[in-house]
Amino acid sequence: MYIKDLKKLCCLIYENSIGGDNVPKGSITAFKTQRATKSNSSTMSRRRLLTNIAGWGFALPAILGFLFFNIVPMALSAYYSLCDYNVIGASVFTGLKNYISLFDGSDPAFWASVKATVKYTVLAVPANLIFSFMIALMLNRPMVGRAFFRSLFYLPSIVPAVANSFVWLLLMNPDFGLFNVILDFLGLPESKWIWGEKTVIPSIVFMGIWGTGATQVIFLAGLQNIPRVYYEALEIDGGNAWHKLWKVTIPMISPTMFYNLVMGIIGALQVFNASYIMTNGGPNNASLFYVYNLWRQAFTYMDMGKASAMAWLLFITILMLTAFVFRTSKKWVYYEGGDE
Amino acid sequence: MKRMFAVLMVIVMLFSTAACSSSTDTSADKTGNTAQSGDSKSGGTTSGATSSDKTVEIRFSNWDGGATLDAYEAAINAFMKENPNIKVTNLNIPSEYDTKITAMIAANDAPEISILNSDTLLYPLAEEGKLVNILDLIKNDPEFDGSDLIDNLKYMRDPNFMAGYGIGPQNICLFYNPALFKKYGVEEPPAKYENAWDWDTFVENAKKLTIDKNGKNALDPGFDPENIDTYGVTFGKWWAIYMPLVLSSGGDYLNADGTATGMDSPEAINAMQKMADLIWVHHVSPTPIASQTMPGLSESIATNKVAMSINGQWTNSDLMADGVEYNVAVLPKIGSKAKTVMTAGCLSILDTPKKEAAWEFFKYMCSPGAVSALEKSGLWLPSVKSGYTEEYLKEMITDKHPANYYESICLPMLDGTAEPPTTSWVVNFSKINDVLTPALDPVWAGESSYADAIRGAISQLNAEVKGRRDK
Repeated sequence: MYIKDLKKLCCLIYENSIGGDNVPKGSITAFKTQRATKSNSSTMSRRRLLTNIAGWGFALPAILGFLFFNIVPMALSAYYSLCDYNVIGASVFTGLKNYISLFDGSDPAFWASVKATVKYTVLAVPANLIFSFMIALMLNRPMVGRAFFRSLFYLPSIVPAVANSFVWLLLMNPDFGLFNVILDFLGLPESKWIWGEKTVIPSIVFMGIWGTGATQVIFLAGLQNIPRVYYEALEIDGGNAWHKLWKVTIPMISPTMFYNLVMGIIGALQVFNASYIMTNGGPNNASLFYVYNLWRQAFTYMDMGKASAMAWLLFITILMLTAFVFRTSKKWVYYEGGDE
Repeated sequence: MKRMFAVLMVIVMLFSTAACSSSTDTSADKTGNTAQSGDSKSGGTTSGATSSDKTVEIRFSNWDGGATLDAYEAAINAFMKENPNIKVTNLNIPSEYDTKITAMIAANDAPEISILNSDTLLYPLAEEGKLVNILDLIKNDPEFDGSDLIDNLKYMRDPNFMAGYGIGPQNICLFYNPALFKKYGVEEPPAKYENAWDWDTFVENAKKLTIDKNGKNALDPGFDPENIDTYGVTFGKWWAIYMPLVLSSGGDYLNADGTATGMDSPEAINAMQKMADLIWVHHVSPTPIASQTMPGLSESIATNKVAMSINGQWTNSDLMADGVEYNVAVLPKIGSKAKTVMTAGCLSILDTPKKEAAWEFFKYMCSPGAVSALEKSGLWLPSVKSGYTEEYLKEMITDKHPANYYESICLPMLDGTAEPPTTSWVVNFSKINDVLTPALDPVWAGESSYADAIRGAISQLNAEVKGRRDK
């Protein structure tokens, strides 16, 4: 039913762009006659225009989506972070009150959540990188059943987070979970795993390592892109496996490492599932991750102002950390085709 | 040809984006053209019925599933039969309930009548003026007897504004496994609150009923607390479970004038430490870790894993449905009088043009017999005083109900034993609770005394205390 209007709109855009003076505006018949009678001189510009329209048209859904689902909500949340806003009532502008209330110590849960998240990030990012790199190195070697192992190590990544969490809840159960049974068998002291204040974060990191299939695949792709000639050259020069790893593999994989590091930091700072599904932030707020705390502010306390302020702090932190990693990357990331 | 195709694609895309973003515009300014059937329908329902003989449509939002949802559906159908000019739609939102209701209200599309969480959404909505003062509706309705409502179930924003009413109230009681009492020669717990066990008797009996894998009970010097087969008592670690004992001890959640928490009073410390001692001193109750893997109460009782459990009365519905041999009794006392607390879903009317129709449905839902299926299943108790007549209760209590149901669960509702839900009168309850609950983790884990834990959290707790609604 809007077709008529839209056709009209297209005609108008068309007419304005070709500057047709003698064309009655908005007439579809004119549009048709015009097409038939216009001389060849403007064919090029017309074609370019149509290409432009088509280009913009194709990009439009994405642009609009980005605008309405990213830019507008971001702008709104930036505004609400300066307001007292509970969704149901009108927002009241309160300036920096939300930010100040986070930093002045009146909200100990905020600092507990910062502590838990920093602790998690510091442990999880290197652990995930090292583990997935090692697995990728192994899976890159020629061996029997390589395809099988590749699938096997990727498999945990496709298990839904909830199912995954419940399996780990059972594995880590201090009374009859498999891990404590193994520790007991080996004569090692048992752990309280996610039910202990000191062990909950390491346990969640340990659990996270299991689901690094995507990172492994990216490493694997990076490894497969390393030209064999380097290794051959090293062999000729008498290099051993250690040299191959340090002198070829690691420098050549550094861009992949860099990408995984950046993504890892972003992902770790936004960790949520484990505290939402498994621990509820406990015990004693030891796993109250930042985003879980943010979610609680927004959807349990309906304090959208404070939640928005927290989201912006996180955004700025991630931005600065990423910028920092980019800065240092010049020193340790090697690009084969890069400009020197 | 290519050019035509490009133009066509542009038109299609423009069309699709326009159709997504501006459906309200087009339905508003295009009168005779092509009216979208979907739009006109929803427009008709939200604008409300003006003429008296037209059907009014209201939406009743709730989150329950299972038997409760079935009972809601049955109640709605029965109500619509009696009130043919009111059409009630059951808006069942099983997850993220608060978020969805908030979003609906923000979009000006609030359901007309809702079950609300008293610890989260209820009072913020009342404070924003989104709810109807039920006292006004009672005042304007000469047919309705306001004195039939139970005071403890009125969720009062302040003394002059009733934000909601607790329907299907419940309370906390003691469930027990008569077979184990018989087996170990322990006297069964009392049915009436005036005969409640004192704490020492309770602990003594719990010890007799806690049996390790060698068959020794917790009174035996050779008892092995690491390998317990049958626990004397289990209890939840949340406010409705510990408040009856705190109240019995003479303490309360807040101090008398509502300026500070009451959970650091000597009375509260006494009660809470006594509960923690059940786990770590007397070894009659499972540790938090052991509780994680305990089966549900039905199975725990049926397999003789548990002798007693301090639990919500609603658990009756599971136990009854599962055909478990069990009984209920009153909670033990710490001070001079035993206490329990009520819990309830809060039924509220939102401030919409259809609040009159919602009020009719509200009255129906409170009336005895409206949700009799839930009362007969053991899940709910009657919502109003007239539901507590002996005649009505006899009809409601089936032969599946445990023997002491009337004395231990129904009677305390009106005789002053059952205190109002803590969430109904504590301002800012959910935030206080979110400070208190993690602070108690080390207590239940046996890593800290209650007195130390509450001392460590006291400034945080008091920072969240914002007064009491009943004063």
